[in-house]
Amino acid sequence: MTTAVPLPAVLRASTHLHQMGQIYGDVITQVKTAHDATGEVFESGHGDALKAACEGAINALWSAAADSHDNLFNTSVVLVRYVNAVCDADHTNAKELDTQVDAINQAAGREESSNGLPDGTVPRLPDVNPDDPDGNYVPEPSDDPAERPEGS
Amino acid sequence: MGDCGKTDGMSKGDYASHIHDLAVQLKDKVAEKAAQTVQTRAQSMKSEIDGQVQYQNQEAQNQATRDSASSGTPVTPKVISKNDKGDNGYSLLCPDSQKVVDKYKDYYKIDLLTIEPGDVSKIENELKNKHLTYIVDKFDRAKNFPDPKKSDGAEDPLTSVTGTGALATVKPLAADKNGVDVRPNPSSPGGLFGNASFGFAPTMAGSIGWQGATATTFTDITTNIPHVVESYNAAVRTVRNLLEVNRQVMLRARKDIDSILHDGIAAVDHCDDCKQGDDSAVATLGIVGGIATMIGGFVSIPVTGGLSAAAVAAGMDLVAGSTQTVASAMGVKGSPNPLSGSGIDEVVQKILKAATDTFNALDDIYNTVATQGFDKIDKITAGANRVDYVVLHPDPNFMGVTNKNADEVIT
Repeated sequence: MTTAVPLPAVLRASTHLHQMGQIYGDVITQVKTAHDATGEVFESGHGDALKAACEGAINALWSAAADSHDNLFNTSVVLVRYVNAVCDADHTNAKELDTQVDAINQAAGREESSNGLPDGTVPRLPDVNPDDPDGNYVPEPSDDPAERPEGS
Repeated sequence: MGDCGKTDGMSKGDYASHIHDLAVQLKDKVAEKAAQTVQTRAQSMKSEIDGQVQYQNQEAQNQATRDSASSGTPVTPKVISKNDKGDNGYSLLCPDSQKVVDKYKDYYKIDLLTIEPGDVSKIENELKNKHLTYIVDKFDRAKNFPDPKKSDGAEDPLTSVTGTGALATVKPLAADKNGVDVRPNPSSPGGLFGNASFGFAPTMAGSIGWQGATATTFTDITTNIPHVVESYNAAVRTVRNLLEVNRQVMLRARKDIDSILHDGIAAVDHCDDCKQGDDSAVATLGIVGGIATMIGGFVSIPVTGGLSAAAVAAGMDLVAGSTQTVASAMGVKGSPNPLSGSGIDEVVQKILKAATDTFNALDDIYNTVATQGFDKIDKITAGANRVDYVVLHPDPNFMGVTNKNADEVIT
């Protein structure tokens, strides 16, 4: 490795951010479900203003989760681009990163919990292609933009 | 005495039917008890008016006789009838009798002066089918009370997000005026997030020897993640708890209306005219004071310049538990509202006032929960502070490092 940048750690951070983005995706699903269920929670007529206030708060939570989801995904992509830029500046970094990631992923595969499933606390990192002709040595994480409440 | 103990498990439709049936029972019971009184008093008013008409006409006749004698020419007396003034003789009654008529109009919507004082059963039917239907109408609003179980549909998904633990606190991210980091150590937010946000600790740049501006920015972002996640989690949990407040209020309101009707029927049943009614005490929605105390936790939350975590926690811990009800958490007791009165009309008035008080209390609670609860969360989560507190966001400078800063880290 010819750089002071701990590329596997940056890659792991990208993976963490992407996984957190996926958690926020699950959060959005739940918040949306809560939003859809508020119709029968409040007293119709007299409780309409309360219902509107609740929906406003839930929509705000939904929008905040959607922004976090998208920002986490975008940041995870930025980190991978950063790693690719470092590797592009010196191709030796790409080869060394490939070697290190292979070792990390083999270790992650060995670390199993008592139920035989991989231990999620040591996530696998994306495979590195040190010979990618376009300089995309590490693939960028993919995700769809979060669904948002109507009108936001 | 009190509620029937079955309202918690009733669907919206079943509760509406239950309340309607009780309200009809109350109306019919009042009609049964009041019919004899109405008949007696209507007859009394009729007699008083007839007596006044007869007296005044006799006086007019006497005066005409005197006038004829003195003038030598016949004078026709000015004869009156009870409806000369279009008020069915009301103006002919003495003030005390007029008060009785007024009271019956207010309490029963009955005009004693137009009722034909026939047999009691006829009056009873007329009371049931015409004059007293407003008693049933008075409880119409309760038929719209939602099924408290429906709150599960909104609360359960939020609980899956936040977990069931105590309220997490909302933590400001900025340093204080002395530049000291005032953030408490983050705690596990629970729920979907679990400990996910702590996975960044081993990758923080400072701890792995990565130097430079990019590393500093990276460290700032990863350091804030647990705090932001925890604050967002607190906001979700607060909304969940406010939904639980609404559920507890509905449970209480259902019981109170049910109790008012059950106690009211019993009170009317034991109330004979001109005797004291039962000592039944209807508990009007006594939750009001407690709700105000609880919501007080929100009142002190500033919507700009940071959040008072202690204030949020103080308010919402009351409903954070899964088994503790709002009422029991706050030691709320109903306000006794004795139903005894000098007669059935007064008892009926007290029953209806208890219902009115309950509905008014509900409106107050709705307004408080909306303005001091949900609206505050809306401002925290969607307002100017949202990025600092509850939304994970990349630093704009960091977004620009993709290529241009690559050189700085090459050794």
